[in-house]
Amino acid sequence: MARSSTENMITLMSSDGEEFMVTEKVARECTTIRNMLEDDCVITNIPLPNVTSDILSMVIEYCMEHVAAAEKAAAETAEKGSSSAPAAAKANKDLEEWDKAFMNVDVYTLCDLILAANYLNVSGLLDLTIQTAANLIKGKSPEQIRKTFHIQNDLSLEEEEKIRSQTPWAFEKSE
Amino acid sequence: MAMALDLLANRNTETERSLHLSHSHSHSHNHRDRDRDRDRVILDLYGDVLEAVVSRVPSADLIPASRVSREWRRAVRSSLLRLPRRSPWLLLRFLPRPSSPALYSLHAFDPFSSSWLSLPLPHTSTCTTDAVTVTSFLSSSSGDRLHTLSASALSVSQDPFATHWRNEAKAPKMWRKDAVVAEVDRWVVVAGGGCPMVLEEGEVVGAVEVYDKQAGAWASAEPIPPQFDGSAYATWLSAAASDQRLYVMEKKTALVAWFDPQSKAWGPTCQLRLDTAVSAWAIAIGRDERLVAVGVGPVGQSGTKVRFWELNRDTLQPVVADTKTKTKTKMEEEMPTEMVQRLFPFDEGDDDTWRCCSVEVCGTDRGGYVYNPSEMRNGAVLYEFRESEGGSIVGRWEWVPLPERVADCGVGRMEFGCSAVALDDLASFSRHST
Repeated sequence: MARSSTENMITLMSSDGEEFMVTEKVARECTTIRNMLEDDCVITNIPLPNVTSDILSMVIEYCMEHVAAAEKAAAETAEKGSSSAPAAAKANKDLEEWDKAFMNVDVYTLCDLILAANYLNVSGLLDLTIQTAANLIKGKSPEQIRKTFHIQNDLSLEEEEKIRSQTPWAFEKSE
Repeated sequence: MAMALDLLANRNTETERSLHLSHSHSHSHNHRDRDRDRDRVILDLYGDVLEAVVSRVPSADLIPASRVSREWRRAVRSSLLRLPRRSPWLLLRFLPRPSSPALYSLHAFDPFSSSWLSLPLPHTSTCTTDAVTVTSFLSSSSGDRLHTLSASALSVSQDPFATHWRNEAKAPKMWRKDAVVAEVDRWVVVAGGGCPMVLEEGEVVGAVEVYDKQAGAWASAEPIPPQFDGSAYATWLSAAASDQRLYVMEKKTALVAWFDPQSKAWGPTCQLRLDTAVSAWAIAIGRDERLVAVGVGPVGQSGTKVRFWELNRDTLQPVVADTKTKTKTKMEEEMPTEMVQRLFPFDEGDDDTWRCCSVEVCGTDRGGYVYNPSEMRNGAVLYEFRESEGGSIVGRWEWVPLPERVADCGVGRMEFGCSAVALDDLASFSRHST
């Protein structure tokens, strides 16, 4: 895609020291980075000590795809005066498909992505990853959930019994 | 520059606090085939992030999720405190063979995840041995409950999914066929439905009896007001229960009245004159100590309308919007056209002038469901009341189709109810998943 020569490039540095050059537009998809850029517009090098290079590269991949999709939609609207509804619907569907394929990762990567999306504040990615994790819980027993997310059960038998009999957190009746 | 980094540093510590470091000996199987340490430190879900995940989980999955670990239990608890799931569920009782009323299935629609649950076979009350037994939903302030009424006994289930039944009481003194039954606080009210053919001396069709659950005794009360003459039957009355009163509305004429079981007497009877084009009415509990009257009409090719009006619970008069312009506009809201068409589809060639139409609604002070009782297969339309006082009454509309396994059955009778559902109600049938 053609970029104007005036577009700023930003360097993001992962926790393991790898550097990623991205356009400012892509970097701005991360609200955390956008806030920094707004506070200080000459900043060009941002260390991200909480994100490893493999996860950071995925976050960037996601941001680039979504920026490109938005640019394409904007260009089409500018060209025709208004975007045609079927074309917009198709573009949305394509992006949804892309997101779905992007979420084809193991649970470790998924958890790392959630944490990175939370830390960098990429709302679309956070929403996508959290929903993916929630879908993994559906229809499972506690033991199956533990297995899926590699969690140690720290509840004693007594406590488990208690959860079963005790009901202080009804969602409606209290108030 | 320094400021920006400070910001980032603060965020780091915040994030670190919400992360939980733990060792994992499992390998990652990533299709991306990236290099990873075999014995790496993984960051698992914790704190706010875990809470965000469980906030998206369908209500029925919250029980197993809360039994995963201490942290997960905390996350479920905290998510429900932050985002209480108060909208009532739609309940569906389905009889595949109406000839054997004891064989039914129960289905429940979770408005939070917009999905149906099929419940395990319900426990039936013990009084089904009687030849003539009616099982159906009764209105109660906490939500609709299944009850059975036979010539000798009355039994009411204690929870929305009918897993527990209260000890049965003796049947009311007068034999009734089509009575309005409601649970109001500690009383069960049975109103109308008397059979003119078998009335004994002194009995009237619209007789009311009240069962005091604490005292375990029935008492007679003032009969349904004479204005309801000829329609003192559940078939012709829409009913709603608050924790103080039973409200009834004549479905064709919009005559409304309330009954107070404590004084065993009726309040004012009001003739609503909201819109002459409305041909069918129903009533439900509204938000903020109000009621909602639901009206269908005009009906026709030009577009059927379904509208909501808010009524005062004491005077039964329409609530007037508090506008600065001082114009007296009644609080009124129209159901979106696409939902109306789901419930009341209009076929080409239908005669505008002759159309029988009816509507029913079940709900709590958070929201509820509107349906077409003559075409239950059209499903129901969910409404959720807007919490803040504003121009509109309803904040969310959604069409709810029947669950697939009921829709796939060609025949069968069904009945809708609606109830708030608490986590312990769900726990009662997910015990197997410990």
